[in-house]
Amino acid sequence: MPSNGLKSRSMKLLLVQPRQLGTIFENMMQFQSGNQLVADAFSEMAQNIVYPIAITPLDEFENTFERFLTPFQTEVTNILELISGQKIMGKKIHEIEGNEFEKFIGQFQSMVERDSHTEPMLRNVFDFVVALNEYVKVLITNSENKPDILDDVLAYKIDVNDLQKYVLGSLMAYFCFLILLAVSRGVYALPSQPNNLDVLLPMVLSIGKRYNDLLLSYMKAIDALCNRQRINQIKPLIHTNPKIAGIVGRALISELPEDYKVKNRDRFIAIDYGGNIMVEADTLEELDAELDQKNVRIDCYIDRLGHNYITRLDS
Amino acid sequence: MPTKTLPYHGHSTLNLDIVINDIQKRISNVLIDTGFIHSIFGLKLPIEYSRYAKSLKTGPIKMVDGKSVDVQWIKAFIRGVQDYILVNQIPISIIFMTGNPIIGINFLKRYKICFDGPNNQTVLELDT
Repeated sequence: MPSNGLKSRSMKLLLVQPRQLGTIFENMMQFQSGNQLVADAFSEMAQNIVYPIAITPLDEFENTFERFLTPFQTEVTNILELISGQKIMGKKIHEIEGNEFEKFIGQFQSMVERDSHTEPMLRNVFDFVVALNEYVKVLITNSENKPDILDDVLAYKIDVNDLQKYVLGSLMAYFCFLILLAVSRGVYALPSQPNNLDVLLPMVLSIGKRYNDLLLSYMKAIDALCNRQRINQIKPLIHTNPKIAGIVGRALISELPEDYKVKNRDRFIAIDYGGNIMVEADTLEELDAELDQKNVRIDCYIDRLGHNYITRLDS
Repeated sequence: MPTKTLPYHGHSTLNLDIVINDIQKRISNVLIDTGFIHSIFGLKLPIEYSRYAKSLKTGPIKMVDGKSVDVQWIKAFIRGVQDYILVNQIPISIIFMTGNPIIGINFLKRYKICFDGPNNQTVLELDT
């Protein structure tokens, strides 16, 4: 596996002032030529993602984006492996203490905030770096002498495929964004130029932002499950994101005493996100009615013990 | 008795006035779906509407394609239909999912509804 400075270079790219965006893409292309694996990935993406973007109706594109991602799973996995082996500030990622990495991100953030000419897109790229940073932290913590967060992920039944998809989506959307931006600034040429770049750029950016949001939400949920005192901090996220509510809810259900779960198998229970059982019932209808009768005004998770779902929706 | 006549072209839609946690909202173009039958859920709304809810119930639900997905729902009230204010607000569980708004049998079964294909109209008799 080649391992020359992808991370350090990509970080360097993002540290450049907005007015130097042209330089960013020159660097990107230089880097591209220095690493066959990444060069191939960029080239494939340009051919197979950017063009479909150009010919797909806008309202359909977001839904079909994932279809375009699938063939690149291997490339992105390779890139992620490269990233985890690269040097930042003279150290390999796994040698960097968490607070150093935070400091690095903080420096970038303050630079973005200081610069009144900062373009919104750079803020989004920053969000991307933060999301990726969270992912990399999971990789780092997964090293031999540290707690295995990925085990926790699996223990809490977090869908690792979703996690991969969000990382993949974030990366690909931003790679596409960078390629398109480079094309629009004339520092990179595609074999045939898309003629609607003004439309494509914000669209790809919004897709990247969506994947970032999903990725960050997942990371916050994992973090809260590993550090329970932080569950309170993610309650707004639980309220607005059913996937996160499900992840946290299932984790809390899995931690109920085994004899309780055996004794109440097949029954329906509602718990709050502090892990307190609020209502138990033999049917979902009874449980739902009782919650309404009690006028419960907090979010709760409902589960049928020993089952994967509480009801079916056939329409 | 109040009667509402809606256009019918293979399907009909109506406007609903609902109350979610004391917040009133007008929902337009709610599809009448007699195939939406569930013991609890009566109205399906886009996820964006969940922001009006102060508290939500979440649980895993098995969908038609066999997948289990986490969805959120809340007890709310239907206050009016097509500018007619109902004599009594009707309690209904709203399930928040992607897609267009759909009203199902839980609400419709309270009234008389007639799909008149030849005349391209749907007649809804309320508060009968």
